[in-house]
Amino acid sequence: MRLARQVAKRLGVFAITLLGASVVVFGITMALPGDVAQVLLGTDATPEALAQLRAQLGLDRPWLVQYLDWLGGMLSGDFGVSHLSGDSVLSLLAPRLAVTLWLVGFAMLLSLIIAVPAGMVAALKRRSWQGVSVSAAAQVGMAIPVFWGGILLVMVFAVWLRWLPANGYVPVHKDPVGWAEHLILPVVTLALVQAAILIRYVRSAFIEVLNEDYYRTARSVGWTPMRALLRHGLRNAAISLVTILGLQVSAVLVGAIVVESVFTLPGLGSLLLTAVSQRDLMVVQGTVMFLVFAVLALSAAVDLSYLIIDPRQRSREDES
Amino acid sequence: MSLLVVRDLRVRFGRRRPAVDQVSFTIDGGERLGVIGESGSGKTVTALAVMGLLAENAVVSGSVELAGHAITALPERDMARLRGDLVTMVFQEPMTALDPTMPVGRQVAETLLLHADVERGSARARVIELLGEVGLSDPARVAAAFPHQLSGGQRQRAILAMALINAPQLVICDEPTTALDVTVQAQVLAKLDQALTASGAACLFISHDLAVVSQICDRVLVMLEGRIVERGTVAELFSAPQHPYTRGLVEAASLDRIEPGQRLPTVAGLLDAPAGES
Repeated sequence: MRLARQVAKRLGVFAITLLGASVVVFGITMALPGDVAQVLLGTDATPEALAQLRAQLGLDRPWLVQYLDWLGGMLSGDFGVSHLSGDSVLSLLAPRLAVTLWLVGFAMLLSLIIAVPAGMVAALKRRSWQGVSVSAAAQVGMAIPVFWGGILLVMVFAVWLRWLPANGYVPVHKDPVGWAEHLILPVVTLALVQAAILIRYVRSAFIEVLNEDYYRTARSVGWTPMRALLRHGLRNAAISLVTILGLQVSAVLVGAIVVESVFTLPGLGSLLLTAVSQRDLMVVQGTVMFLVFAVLALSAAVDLSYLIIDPRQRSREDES
Repeated sequence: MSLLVVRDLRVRFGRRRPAVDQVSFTIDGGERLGVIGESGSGKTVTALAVMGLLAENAVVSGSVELAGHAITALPERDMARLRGDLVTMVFQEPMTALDPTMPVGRQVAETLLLHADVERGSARARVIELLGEVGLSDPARVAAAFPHQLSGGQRQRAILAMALINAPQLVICDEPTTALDVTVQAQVLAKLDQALTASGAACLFISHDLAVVSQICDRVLVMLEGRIVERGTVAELFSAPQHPYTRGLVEAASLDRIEPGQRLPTVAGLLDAPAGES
């Protein structure tokens, strides 16, 4: 019962945040100079033709009406229609979403697989050369911009070694091997940059654990430093790491947009960039709202995961 | 042969004045030695040196020999095997000494499983039995509880169970009751006394409270600024304290004999001693 109330409360906050975001997204796209009618008809269009097209597309209505129309549509699952192509925004979004999800999902996973062990070593051996080299490598990794790292990997693995394709994408259901080959370099590019950032957080989370009394207790009953850290540190460190992961999600999405354009992946990023340059506002709004939704959903998931990781949170929820 | 022999122990952290200097003492099998002194006098550092758990930046000289093992020269892997088995430690802060994300019973069982070849089922039974023995009235519930669901006294008893489960030869207690309120303190001390007697384990008992030490220990060392300034049996110390610091401690431990209206005794210590560079 209490849990249900907690979940309901969180869903409420979620809905209100989403509503606020929709106002901001709509406001910003409305404030953009130029509109789709101008793009469609070109610069030498007559004002009459422009006005007629605007009326046809519903762009001459008051902003509030346009906003409510758009909001109502989204609530019933209709994200609107691209003014340029006439396709529904959802049908444009869906195939590209798959690309971005694969990219972001695998990159997050790979970055954790790299960062957690590396961060642990960096914490445990922080006074010796192993730890210092991990920290130094992370510093260098953080200083490398995503696009440059991507280009570097393309040069080595696609141009010189010819192991992997330099760009492009194949859907998984058409050619699973080709799909994997096309994803490897973008995923590695995004993951390495993320891992470099995460290592620092993992390191400091584990250093915190090393100073905790329970770590000393674990050592005093006979665990070696590494095993004490795995057995009693991982879960405790995860509590602070999950927070960072939740915050990093939006950074990873931004990184994904850059990586998609480096590797010409047909993901949400390229959809968004094209739509902005063509003033296809319905597509811009739909895509941005979707990204906002994804970020909010992930941070709600982070909130809920505290309940799983930290037993103290669970009892606090019971009491409130 | 003594169980624990500490010879000329000196511990430095970085370039600071040694935290422990010229410390030598022995503990025989089953013997209980109290170490008394104020905060920063080197009691805990001495204990951690015996456990081999000093921070990485500690520079140690002298020797610590435990049941024939030269602790100061032992590789970490071998030392880990002795910890929790031959020598165990009860820490001061029951509130933070247990992993907050793991049920208490599992943490106690872990110590058993780490050193003894027992099945999980019988380990669980042994844990619950021992939790009962250290005076927990509902051991099965305590075993299933997370640390934050228990009181300080309950946690410290669980930690005591953790320290006793492998029948160690030496139990190091670092102010085990300081964080507890007075009635719980007396109960936990009584349980510790009982358990030590039952198992015949030796004990290195650290405290700043002479009254508490006198309940548990046979002999006492008095430490001040990293050095041992006085040693003797509890009776000797009470009847004829030599060092001014010890005299102060004895007076403070005999507060019940002070007449109303009389000034309370103070302990001459760190503040009155010549200031060392630090």
